[in-house]
Amino acid sequence: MVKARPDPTLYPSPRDAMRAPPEDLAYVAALYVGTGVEKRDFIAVVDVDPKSDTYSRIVGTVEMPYIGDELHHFGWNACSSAYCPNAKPFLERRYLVVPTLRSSRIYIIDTKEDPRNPRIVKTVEPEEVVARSGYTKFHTVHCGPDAIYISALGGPDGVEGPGGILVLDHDTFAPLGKWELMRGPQYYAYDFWWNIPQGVLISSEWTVPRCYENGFSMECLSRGEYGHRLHVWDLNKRRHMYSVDLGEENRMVLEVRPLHDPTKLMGFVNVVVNVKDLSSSIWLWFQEDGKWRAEKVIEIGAQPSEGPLPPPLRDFKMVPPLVTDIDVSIDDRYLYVSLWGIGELRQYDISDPFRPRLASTVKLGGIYHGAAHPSGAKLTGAPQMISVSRDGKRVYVTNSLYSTWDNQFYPEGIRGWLVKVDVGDGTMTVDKNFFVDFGEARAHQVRLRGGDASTDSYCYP
Amino acid sequence: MIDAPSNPYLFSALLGVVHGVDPARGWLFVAFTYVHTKSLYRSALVFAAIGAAHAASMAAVVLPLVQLARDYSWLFGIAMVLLGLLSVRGIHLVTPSPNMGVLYVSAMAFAYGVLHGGGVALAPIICGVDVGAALAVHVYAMTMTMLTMAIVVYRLLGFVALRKIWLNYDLIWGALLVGLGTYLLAAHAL
Repeated sequence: MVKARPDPTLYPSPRDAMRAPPEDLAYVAALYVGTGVEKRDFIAVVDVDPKSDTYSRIVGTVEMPYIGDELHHFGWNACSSAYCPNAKPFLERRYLVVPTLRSSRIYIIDTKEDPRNPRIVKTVEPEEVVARSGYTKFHTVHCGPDAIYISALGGPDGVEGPGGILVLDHDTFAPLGKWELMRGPQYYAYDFWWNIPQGVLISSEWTVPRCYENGFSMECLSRGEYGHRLHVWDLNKRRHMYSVDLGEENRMVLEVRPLHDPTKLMGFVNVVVNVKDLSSSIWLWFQEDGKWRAEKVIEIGAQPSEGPLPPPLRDFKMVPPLVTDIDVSIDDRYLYVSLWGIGELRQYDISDPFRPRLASTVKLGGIYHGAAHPSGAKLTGAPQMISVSRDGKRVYVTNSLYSTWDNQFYPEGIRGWLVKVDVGDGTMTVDKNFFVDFGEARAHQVRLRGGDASTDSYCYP
Repeated sequence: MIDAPSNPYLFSALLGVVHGVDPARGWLFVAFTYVHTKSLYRSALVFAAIGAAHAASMAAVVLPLVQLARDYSWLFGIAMVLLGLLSVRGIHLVTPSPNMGVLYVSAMAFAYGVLHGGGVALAPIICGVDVGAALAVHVYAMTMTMLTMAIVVYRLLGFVALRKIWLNYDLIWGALLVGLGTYLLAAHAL
């Protein structure tokens, strides 16, 4: 629907977006895949308005029509990139674009009519997407100035690669096809993001479906099938330019998080595991003399442990940090880091992005810490997906990584939870009064109504 | 509205202002280029390229149509109503980058100039006067509006102003074309 005035949730610059009103609802991907419960995955609507009677409760759900989709990441149909020159800020941010990682569907969910009871208005079936694009296993959603971009981990057979990026029509949500015109040596896929004014897209590498769907695989690791590179693309010409190798030992290059100020030509990316010492690392990628490079700026070591360890770690007698998600606040001041193995959420001050400084840490769950929530609730799993509010004052965290991997690393089982952390100046406090229990379902990505720190890209500083 | 078409030069200038204020037609791209390159030279080049390409696109449409417009103004009325209805959806050619070649920018601005139907709106109104002068007035009004918008938003208001001033000009322009076309048809019928 074309509007006469811009959607008020879109902002030309990150500075403006910081002044957005606080969020009132959060949408959370919740799944039963891997739990043994034969139920449909759903999007939960959580009340996050502290003034509301139903604060910190699930106030609505939208169930998927099939069992076994495996919801994971999702995003909005429109965002602040619509303010880029000759894009058009008249699209409404009202539809959640919800791809599925296992069944390769794409659901379009309308949140406008009744934000607490959203409903599915369109389902793109896997046959249609594969025929159009040759892609399966959908992951990250970003709204571009001209279309919706969705990363895909699998090629046409849904077992091997190459993964890549699918383009979806902004208005009709019809799959338009493969984004890449020339993919060069790129084969593994995972996340991507961009700097629109610079016309550059950066993509990362996890692996192919064969190496993650049935769980983390030692064989795949020893065969070198978990990725260790970033790919630099010409966003406008849709061409692979070159790769940035983070080193053979650094495996699983995941979340691509550019700084929000588009005049700063840099961003972060996390490496889950160093195969030599099980450490995790965070890299700064940046442009220097016209060329994109990457430099390791944070290293987090594994912790020796005699305690009972899950099967994949038994031989090591160590708990790896497993940094599986990172997120940058919209003012580019703090980087939030999940240590899904150890059980910590960390806040780094990135005023100097080349020298991040650990500002604060909270312990939540974890193989190593096993820390409880301040309310007394037991926390299975550990911090995983991070969602930072637009004003940067609240951080929402869930605990599921991926169905089969959850079962390997937390064999006692994961009960989904959503917790909230209040942010001060270099401090974090877990909100004692905010604990959402998803029961047997697992909680994955959180999207805040109106947008959050990983939904929007901006063309102006 | 009724008065403007009776003064072709004023109408030509007003049409220039309408094009000039639309962020999608040039000024925002000039300001955006400056923000990302910090090069006054490059921004000036982009500004000049858009201005020149717009002038060329107007001339390319209007000059061959002047004679036709004198004889069959009702035909233009129909064309304007149709173009007006079409332009409501807007035109999206390319996502711009500040590193885009100047020739490319010119080609885009030329294409927009032709596709938006400004020439079709202008031809029947200015066909009775000095066409060259009327076109010059149009391009001058358009470029000066562009320059003013770029400077005022960059220097004074900040890009946050886009939230207030970026109206859906495709809708406004579409309505304007339909209105003008209807006016021409009515004038012909009377």
